[in-house]
Amino acid sequence: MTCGEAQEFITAVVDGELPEPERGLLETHLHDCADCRTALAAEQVLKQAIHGTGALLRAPDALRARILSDPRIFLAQRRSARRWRDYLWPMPPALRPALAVALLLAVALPAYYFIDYRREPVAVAALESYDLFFQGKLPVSRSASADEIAALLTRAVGGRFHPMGYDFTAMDLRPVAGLVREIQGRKILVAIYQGPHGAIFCYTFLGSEKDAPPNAAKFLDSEKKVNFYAFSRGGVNAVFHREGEVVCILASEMPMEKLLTLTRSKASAS
Amino acid sequence: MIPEAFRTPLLLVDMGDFSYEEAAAIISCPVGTVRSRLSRG
Repeated sequence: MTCGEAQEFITAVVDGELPEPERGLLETHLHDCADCRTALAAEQVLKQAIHGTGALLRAPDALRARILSDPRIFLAQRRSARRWRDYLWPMPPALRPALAVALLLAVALPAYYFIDYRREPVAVAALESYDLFFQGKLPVSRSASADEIAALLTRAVGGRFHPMGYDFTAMDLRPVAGLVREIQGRKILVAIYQGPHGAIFCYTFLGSEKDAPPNAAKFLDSEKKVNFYAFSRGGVNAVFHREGEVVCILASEMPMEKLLTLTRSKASAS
Repeated sequence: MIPEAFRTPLLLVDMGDFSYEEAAAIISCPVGTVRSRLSRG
């Protein structure tokens, strides 16, 4: 099975619509393919989000009941004999626009919202936690010790990778908390530094330069041979770079130029 | 904007709680077509 074929099965299995033996084939493929396991986790998160919103905004139950009870559409389900013929019965043309308009009015906006969400790169989506932290909406582990935060975050990912251990005391920023987020099936470690004049969030996750947002401004530090990618989300500036198999993003409300200089000074040469 | 051929199955299944088979009946196409359009939508 190719990854392209698996993608179709992944969508179906998350919807609870994948019968045997295709389900077994998919499970075998997932066992051997980390990319498709990631795709499965992302699909589950996306479907949950869509269903959560869909529960609030959906077509009226009466319309749904009328459609489901229409013998011209669903005769096939009730009569197993000649099923294929019933299945192909044309739906009355008059009902199609009515159904399409009702569903579009009820659900178009949230659907578009979540489609955009699906396309937002992990690096950009991660910055959401910057605002959520200050709104007190995230469960964090508070500690004034950088080592303690690093150990906690490393444990949260079973030691597979470590958060970047930066020291910002020269800028009067001290470690205050750490948290772990899962975005599109990927674990993101976040170390938070705060001071009287601002804050810096340090994001670390397993990835490559392909995770840099496509519209980010790219800078090459020819001395360190490291690419830096600058981008923003809301009022938060961020600079992305890769060290080995991990991606590090420093995010702050400080001016982009200052943040870029800071990240370049902290990054290790490749 | 997603083309209508992909948008309709997405709305029916993900937002309308119809099964693949129900969605296929509503839009008069095979279940396999609904499945492939959902994964590519």
